[in-house]
Amino acid sequence: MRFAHHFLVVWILIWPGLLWSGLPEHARGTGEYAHDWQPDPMHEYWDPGRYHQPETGPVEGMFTGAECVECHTALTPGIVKDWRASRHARVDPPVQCPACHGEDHQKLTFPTPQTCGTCHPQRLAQMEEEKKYGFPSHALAMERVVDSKQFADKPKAETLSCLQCHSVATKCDSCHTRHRFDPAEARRPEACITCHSGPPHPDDEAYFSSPHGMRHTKDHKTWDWNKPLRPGNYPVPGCAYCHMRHGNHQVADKGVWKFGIRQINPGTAENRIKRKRWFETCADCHPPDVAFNFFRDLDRERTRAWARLYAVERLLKELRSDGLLRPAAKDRPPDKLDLLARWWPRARIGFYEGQASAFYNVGDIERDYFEMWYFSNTGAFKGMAHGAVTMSQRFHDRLRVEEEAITQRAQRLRDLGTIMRDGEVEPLWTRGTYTRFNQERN
Amino acid sequence: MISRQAMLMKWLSGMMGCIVIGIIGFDVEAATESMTDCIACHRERNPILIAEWEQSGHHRPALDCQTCHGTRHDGTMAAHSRRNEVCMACHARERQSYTLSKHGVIALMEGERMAYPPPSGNGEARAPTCAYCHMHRNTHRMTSTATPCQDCHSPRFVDTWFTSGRKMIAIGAMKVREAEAVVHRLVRERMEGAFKARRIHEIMTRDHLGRVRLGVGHQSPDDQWWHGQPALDGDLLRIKSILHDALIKR
Repeated sequence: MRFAHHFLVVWILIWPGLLWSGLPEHARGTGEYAHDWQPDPMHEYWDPGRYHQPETGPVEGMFTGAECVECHTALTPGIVKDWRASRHARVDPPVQCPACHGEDHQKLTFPTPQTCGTCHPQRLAQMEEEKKYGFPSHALAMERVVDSKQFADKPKAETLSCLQCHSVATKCDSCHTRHRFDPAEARRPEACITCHSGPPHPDDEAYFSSPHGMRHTKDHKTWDWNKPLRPGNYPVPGCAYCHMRHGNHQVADKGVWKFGIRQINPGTAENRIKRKRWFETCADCHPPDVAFNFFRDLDRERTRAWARLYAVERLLKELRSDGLLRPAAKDRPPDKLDLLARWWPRARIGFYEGQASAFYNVGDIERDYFEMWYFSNTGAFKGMAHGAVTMSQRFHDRLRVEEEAITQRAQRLRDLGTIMRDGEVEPLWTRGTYTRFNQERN
Repeated sequence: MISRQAMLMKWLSGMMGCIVIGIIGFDVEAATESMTDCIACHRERNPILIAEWEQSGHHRPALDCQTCHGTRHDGTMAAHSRRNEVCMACHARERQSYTLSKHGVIALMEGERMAYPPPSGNGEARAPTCAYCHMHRNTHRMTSTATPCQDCHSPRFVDTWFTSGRKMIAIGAMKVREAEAVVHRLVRERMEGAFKARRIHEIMTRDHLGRVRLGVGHQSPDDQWWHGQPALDGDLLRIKSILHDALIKR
């Protein structure tokens, strides 16, 4: 009897719960903060599997590949030309438009990695396998972005800019651009630089200023990129040669230092296996001791960088303990996503407190550290990891200058103290055109 | 040790050399067709083209036809001017955002294989070049419209991209306005750091907001984001920190 009573209560309560969780997928976000954001209309093109809505134009009916081509030669000539030049058009039977987009013009779809995987299952499996290595990875890139605090918190039309690169997880044409989908194109280092450039990951600068990259710049015009990524086919490696060894469609199986944004122990069992994979890769061209010395130098460089970073982190945490961070956490716009953070506001410092998403609504000293850690430190790492020693040294010089500046700023904050008239700080940090907009409409 | 006479001789011969080269150079200059010659002929042959150029931002004293078209009147002038390098010689900021975009990367990889056939339209190029979009179908008015996009992309995609892009730029502009209010207060009340704040605000408007705009126009994620929005966030909070300091000291 008692059991039946409990069962009845659960049975009654379950329906509103199911209704609530059964909202149409396109009406809300995904991931950890799914209920806190709604996608921008453009999101459907970056994550077509989840958000794409079929075009409801005037054209109705089922079409064959030849019919598609007939119309689209006039409508969108560029993509038809590209497709004609692709291997898809040359094989027998050709892979035509309906294979990826469907036949019904009212229900056209965009291909996802799963769509491509129907013919290229090995590549899809390799990409899926990458997930087991965790972040950073291509296969988890979309998850990474929608689960990050700043993405959920900021206006979606602003964070839209994240999606173009992070869509590498949800489409294959980030590297094999449509509609040619040429493997030769994806093998070249230029294919990577649209995303792998800019302050936190200057991979383009690191590679092209390394001895490998300089040789590439000088000679690449004579190389045949149709050759597979095998030893002996290329005089020097491009990005994919090392990071996607033998054309394996995943990049994380050798990731030891994880972008350089946190300190790791390169001596763990897992990292030793990963290092061994690096040694094998380098051994395609170099004797074993070259790779060994290279990674020893890299680890030393990291230790040096982290000694500096931790010193500054300590400095900031001391300021926080003494209540000298300005604005104080309670004077900042309230955290919309985190109840605990709303009740107990606290400045986030360092990787493990999630400072990666605390680059706005913070005081200048925190932002200075963010830039030191996220830009200069990663630059120093990327340079060293690609053999661009001069570049790495330049970023180390920057780290030194930034450490000095932050130390001076910290001293100034201590000298100034916290005395302030009431009611002056709060409006400064919580009001204003953008801050208000962000609070009301993320 | 060189004697004084020898040095004088060297100097004189150097000067003579310069003069001779100058005269020859002047002759070569005179031998090639000058600006007025191009206009005189082409106003009759392509009146619309000349009229469009005269309305464009490129119609200025420092520029002439040769700047883009080169000096070889051998049938390669049009193709020469369609190459990205020609535009990038002047447009350095645009160069970075375009080169890192997917379009730019493809153009870079296709390189010499990419033909530059007349007219630039109808999806001839593997990826659009500067001229493909901004001088679509050979217009000399330098346009920035969404029409060329539709040679390859669906109208709906293009429309969504630019609608969202405009919102993205508007959000960047909000940050600039928010900073402006703080700077005004610093200046009005003659507080310490007003000058520095104004300088940061200038960088926001000239550089970082411009990068967002270029990022949207050229589909360059790096310019939209790392050189754009978070950079604007940094500027804004630094300006606010200046006011915060000034309020404490008061």
